Amino acid sequence: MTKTVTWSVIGVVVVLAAVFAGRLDLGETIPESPLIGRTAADLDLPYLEASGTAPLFDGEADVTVVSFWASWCPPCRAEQPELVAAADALGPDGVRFLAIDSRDTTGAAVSFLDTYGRSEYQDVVVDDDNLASIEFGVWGLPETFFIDGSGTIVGKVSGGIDFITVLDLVEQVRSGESIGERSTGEVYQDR
Amino acid sequence: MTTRAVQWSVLAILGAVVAWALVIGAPGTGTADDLAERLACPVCDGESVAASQTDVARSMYAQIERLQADGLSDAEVLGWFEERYGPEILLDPPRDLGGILLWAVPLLAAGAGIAVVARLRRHRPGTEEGDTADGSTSSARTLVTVGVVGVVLVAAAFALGSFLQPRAQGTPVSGDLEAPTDLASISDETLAATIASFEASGDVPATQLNGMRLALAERYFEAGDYRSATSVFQEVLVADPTDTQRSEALGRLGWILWVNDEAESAEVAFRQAIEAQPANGEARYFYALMLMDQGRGAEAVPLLEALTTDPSVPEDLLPEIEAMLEEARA
Repeated sequence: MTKTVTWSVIGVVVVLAAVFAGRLDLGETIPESPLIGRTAADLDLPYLEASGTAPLFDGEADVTVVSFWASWCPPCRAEQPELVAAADALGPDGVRFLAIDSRDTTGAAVSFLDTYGRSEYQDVVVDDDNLASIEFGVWGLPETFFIDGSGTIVGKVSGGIDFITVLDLVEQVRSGESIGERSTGEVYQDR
Repeated sequence: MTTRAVQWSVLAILGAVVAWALVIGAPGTGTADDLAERLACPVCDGESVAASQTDVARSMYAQIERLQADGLSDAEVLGWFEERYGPEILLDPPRDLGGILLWAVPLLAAGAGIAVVARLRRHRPGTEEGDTADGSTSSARTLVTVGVVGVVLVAAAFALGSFLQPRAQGTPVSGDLEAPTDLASISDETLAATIASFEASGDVPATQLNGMRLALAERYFEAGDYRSATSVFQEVLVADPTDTQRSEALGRLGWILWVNDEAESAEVAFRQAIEAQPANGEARYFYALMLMDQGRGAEAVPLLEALTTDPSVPEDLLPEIEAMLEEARA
């Protein structure tokens, strides 16, 4: 009976260890977003520096790169020049860049763009009521989503994204490859 | 206490835990407050949507109310958020096997402790079994085994504790914890090298490569390095550009030619740029500047008039264009 009890306890421990291993395996990437493979929300967002609104997905671009940012987010400062360069390079070629300013003030956001750059191919809009952040399940900033020509969310990058990565991922989207979710670094929740 | 009694006690505790874990996620009364209690605020320090005062939490609360007004059940409202954030947004303990076991760990550890105490009491010196040499050896082996198991369970409990730690506010919530690489700007050299490698691979479409070339040339142009800019713009023109790309390269080349006293060639470049892409306001603006400088205001008037209604022209440039137009008409 003693052996039976001992082996039973060891068995329970092994099962628990397996469960914990699965639960604690956070690795370098966060769990895949449930949004991958789903249709992007139908939202219109007001421009930051102009009147009017921009649709989240306009139905015309081959690929839409949606980036969530804020002026207080440190990785966003490094990311913006990269996105500007990517927008300048890919914007004329059918790629749409939509930058969604989240939980920010207008003055700080405009000052941010003055410092870190703008692109005529990057629409900068404001998520005033956080609806876009909620629709995209945003946990922190920056986060970038890739939407294909049919309006399906096909990829997510948590953390700052750089020029080369954007080029690479856009090419993958165009070739129909799966991007899934990846992490490039830190994301921030609040100021 | 007998071994069998200990086993039944542990089983009873586990049964209670499983039952508790299964019922704890049962639907609430259905108010927005109830649902807000069951959703995590994604930008907060371990708070629920109901407890948080952040505007994101308020927006989520409003969304709960909208979804309820649309007729969604409690489960559907929670599912709506789970579909976007993943299961981490739910504060209820998960009801799958793993979740149940996670909640059961502390009580399992307690059960193991009860078992140890019971065994020690049963095998302590002076008892019938403990007096025998075989009984002592068995008791020691069991004690070591149970001790090891206890250590493992305690370690697992600590791991559970760290797993359930709330995220720190204002700190990274995911990704590697290395300091982020400073990507403030890709150097011109890196960009040029990237273009060269893409050219060598032959895998990148011409339009995309030209987009990269234009981005690089624009950097040179804005830095005043017209020699390098000219070289790259010329590469664009001979690499099967789109009309828009051709227009952008010609417009910028026109400006470079103009400031280098090549007015005739500049004019040809401006005209071709506008012909290739009539929406190229920059080329029209550069051309108008050149004409005004040459005292050909009348010729600049149609260009400037077009610019006043061009949506691509930055608002802060409009006063200057209108002043130029007034001067040109005069």
